[in-house]
Amino acid sequence: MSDRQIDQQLVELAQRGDKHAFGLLVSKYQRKLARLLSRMIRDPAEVEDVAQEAFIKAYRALPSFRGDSAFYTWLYRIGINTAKNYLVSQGRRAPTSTDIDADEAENYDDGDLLRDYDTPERLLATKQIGETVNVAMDALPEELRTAIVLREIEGLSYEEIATVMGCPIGTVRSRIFRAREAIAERLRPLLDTSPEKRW
Amino acid sequence: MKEQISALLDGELEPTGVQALLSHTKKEPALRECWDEYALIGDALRGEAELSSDFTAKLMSRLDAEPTVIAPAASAALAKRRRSALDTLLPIAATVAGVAVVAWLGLRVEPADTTRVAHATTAARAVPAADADRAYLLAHHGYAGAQAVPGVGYYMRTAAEQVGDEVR
Repeated sequence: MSDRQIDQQLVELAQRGDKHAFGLLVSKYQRKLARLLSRMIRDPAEVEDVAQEAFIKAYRALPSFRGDSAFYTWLYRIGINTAKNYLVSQGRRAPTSTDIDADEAENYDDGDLLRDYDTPERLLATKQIGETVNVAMDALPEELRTAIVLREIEGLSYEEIATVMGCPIGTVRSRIFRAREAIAERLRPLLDTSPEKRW
Repeated sequence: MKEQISALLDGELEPTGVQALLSHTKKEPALRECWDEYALIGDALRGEAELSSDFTAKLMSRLDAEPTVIAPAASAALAKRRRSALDTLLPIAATVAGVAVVAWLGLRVEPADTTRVAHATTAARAVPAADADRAYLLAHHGYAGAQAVPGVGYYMRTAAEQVGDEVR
């Protein structure tokens, strides 16, 4: 089952009233959406508010989502429209449709804009998480590090990784899982998992 | 089960296991936490911007105030997709059926030729001059000006016309 198919399944569950399924989609796409929005809105607090609003609008519009496009493409369009409306309501210029496009947003390189998006506090949090992940990556056995890099950075499928690494798909799956668990172990102390922040 | 969450996030879980795992995820916050962490790790490796750690929790509490999404929309979309498949197949089936009927009729007509010849022979038989009604029609056809197709009066016969004992 492909990534898009799983998103579609989560959407269909949400369409039948399963809010947790929608929560999984929120968790998966929130940072990608925020990166997109940060191209249009500089203030990080505003980016977060608009991202929240975009997800709420997406939830309300779920009955009209028929799966003609991928969920994230649909979500990004909602995000762009929400940001434009927000800027107009604030009396600021909304980018024209040629400035930003959902289809090209996926592969966008933030560059300088991403740095503008970071406040000192957020920068610290992002830096801490980034450093912890890097330290955890360095500590991983070579085969686990290679597997997760090929998956998360290069975007290869398990089958492609199996070919590159010369091992069965089941081994790839296991290596990626073990790499994630090892990184998560080091990351957990940084993450606030108090009950009120759970969902 | 965490390994399955990892595969699910990558879109690499077998279809048979997806439904059951999603049911577990709905019940167990620990599995959702696991999903959150794995998604964060991927984003951190790709250098995505970080949001508040309670972004999802805040959103979910806002969703609690929202009315639950109506189910028929999903099933309607599904039904529409099923209908589209039928929409494709039905015209093909209708075309095949049409061709079959025409072919069958064509084949059915062929052996009936001898009957048609027999009828034609009967029809070609001379109309007896003693047929008074017909003789009258032929004599006065010039006065029947309201015919839709002029000149066909010669060939018109009543349905109950008799030639000898034969009813035609």
